Amino acid sequence: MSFKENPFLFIGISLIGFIILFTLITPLFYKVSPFEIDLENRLLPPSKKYPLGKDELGRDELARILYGARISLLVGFTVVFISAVVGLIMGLISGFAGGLIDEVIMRLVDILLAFPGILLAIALIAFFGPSLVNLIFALVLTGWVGYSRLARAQVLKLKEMDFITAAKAIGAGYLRILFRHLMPNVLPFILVQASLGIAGAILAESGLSFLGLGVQPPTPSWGAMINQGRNHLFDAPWLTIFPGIALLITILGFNLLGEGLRKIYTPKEWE
Amino acid sequence: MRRFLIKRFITSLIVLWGVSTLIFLLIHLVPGDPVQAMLGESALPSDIENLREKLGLNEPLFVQYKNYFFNLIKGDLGTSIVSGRKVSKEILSRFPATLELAIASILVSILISFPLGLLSALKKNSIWDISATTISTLGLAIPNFWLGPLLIILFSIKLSIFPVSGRGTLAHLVLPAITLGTALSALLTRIVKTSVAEELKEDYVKVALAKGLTKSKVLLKHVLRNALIPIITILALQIGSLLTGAIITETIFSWPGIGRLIINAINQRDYPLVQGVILFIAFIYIITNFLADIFYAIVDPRIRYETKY
Repeated sequence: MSFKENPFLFIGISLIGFIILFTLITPLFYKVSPFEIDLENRLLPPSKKYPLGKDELGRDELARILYGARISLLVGFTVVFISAVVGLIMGLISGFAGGLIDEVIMRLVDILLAFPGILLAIALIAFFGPSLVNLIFALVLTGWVGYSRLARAQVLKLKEMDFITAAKAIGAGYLRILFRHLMPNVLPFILVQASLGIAGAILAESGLSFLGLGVQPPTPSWGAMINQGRNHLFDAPWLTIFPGIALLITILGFNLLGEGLRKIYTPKEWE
Repeated sequence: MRRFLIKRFITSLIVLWGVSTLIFLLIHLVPGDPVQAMLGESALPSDIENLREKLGLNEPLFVQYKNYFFNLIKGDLGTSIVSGRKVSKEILSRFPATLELAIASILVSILISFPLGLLSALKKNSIWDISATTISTLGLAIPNFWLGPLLIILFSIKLSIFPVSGRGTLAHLVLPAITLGTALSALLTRIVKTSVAEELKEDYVKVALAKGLTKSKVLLKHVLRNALIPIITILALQIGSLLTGAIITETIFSWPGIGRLIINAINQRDYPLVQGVILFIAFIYIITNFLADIFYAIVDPRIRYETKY
């Protein structure tokens, strides 16, 4: 496959590769703590010594962006992984079992899909309090439904096929049919959806952290850093600009990767 | 059609019930005493007991649910703990500001997406097509909580064209509307481009051109008219999402709408108000989705015959 055939995939992989390498390699030679307060040097503009300047407490902005990348990627991958696994299992069960089980799961999915996921996440965090665990839980609670619908749709199609009838005929049990025959065929669809979901999860984490409902200080998160930077738009705009650039590159990278993968794996069924 | 409408209406009612039950369960699953959390650690036991009584929290859970549900049907969302005013009044006093912002952001997105989407569909692989793709890709990736402060730095601080925050004049509306409308512009540009490109492939376009109609007439009278169906539907479906997006935009620009109301309520642990705003946004979201479906079914008969509920 060439760049011309699928530019999204190549640009997406390059951007994500850049962010991951930047996050992994830079701390090897840039050994500055993201938590160390230095009030004498607060709001210092970018310089050779401090490439991205210092924040309102004199903490190093580059070190905090690097740490924030870990948080964003951690939340993005964790939320998508758990949501995909839960959604896959629920979708497999719902599609294969049919009847009342299918009805109950799908009505629950309908309710959760019927209003914006981020609103439910805000409600949950508002009542349970902001923390990293609650944030991940809130995003998973609304994130699994898309995967389950996708998995169910595939199972409904697959379970009428000859290979499943053959498996039943030779006496394969439900679990064997579900996990040995159906799951491998549903998985590619889930993976493509998951690659698109990472960007959404990272964006949701940053948005909630921006509102003070996500990662709590002093732990750096790009969303929270942009929010703190808002207090210094006049005197230190770089505090808003740099974390946003990191976030934009990451979201763009995952969005393009997802689009690229979608083109490769499921060209007809998706378009 | 009537059958479709009734079924779609019943589904919406079930979802409304489900959402309100979910919110009720959430608030009752809060670890510890929610009243203690609302009043803070230093609250007097008598104050805690009074508030518990006032909120009906001493009743059995089923009775609380019954009261909550019947009040909801009557439009009673409870009373704000901080202001002492009815939650529905608080919401209605703030909603016009949010509606104003939402309408302005829809206008911004239409102004950007229609020309761009049309040009890119008509002139494939041209500079217009490339810019439309780039703008829509960037627009979907740029977080509005970053775009807002960037616009403030550029247009309010550096160029002094628009005010930093607040509401009142048209100038106050410009930056918040762009911030909220950018993601929608990106989405709409894609939809306009795809639907127009699809319509251009249809036989009736060739027939119209063969009959001697001018290109612009075919485009405006036939193509755009048919392409508008999915565009308007998507736009209607996005109204609910705009309300959620408004929470962030209103926070950035100190816009006095329901978005800021809910964030203040969360910070002050005013649970009845939080619950009320969330229910209100969810209701609007469900109702607009319902209306969008009806619109779609009216203009495209295939939907009402094919959809099985």
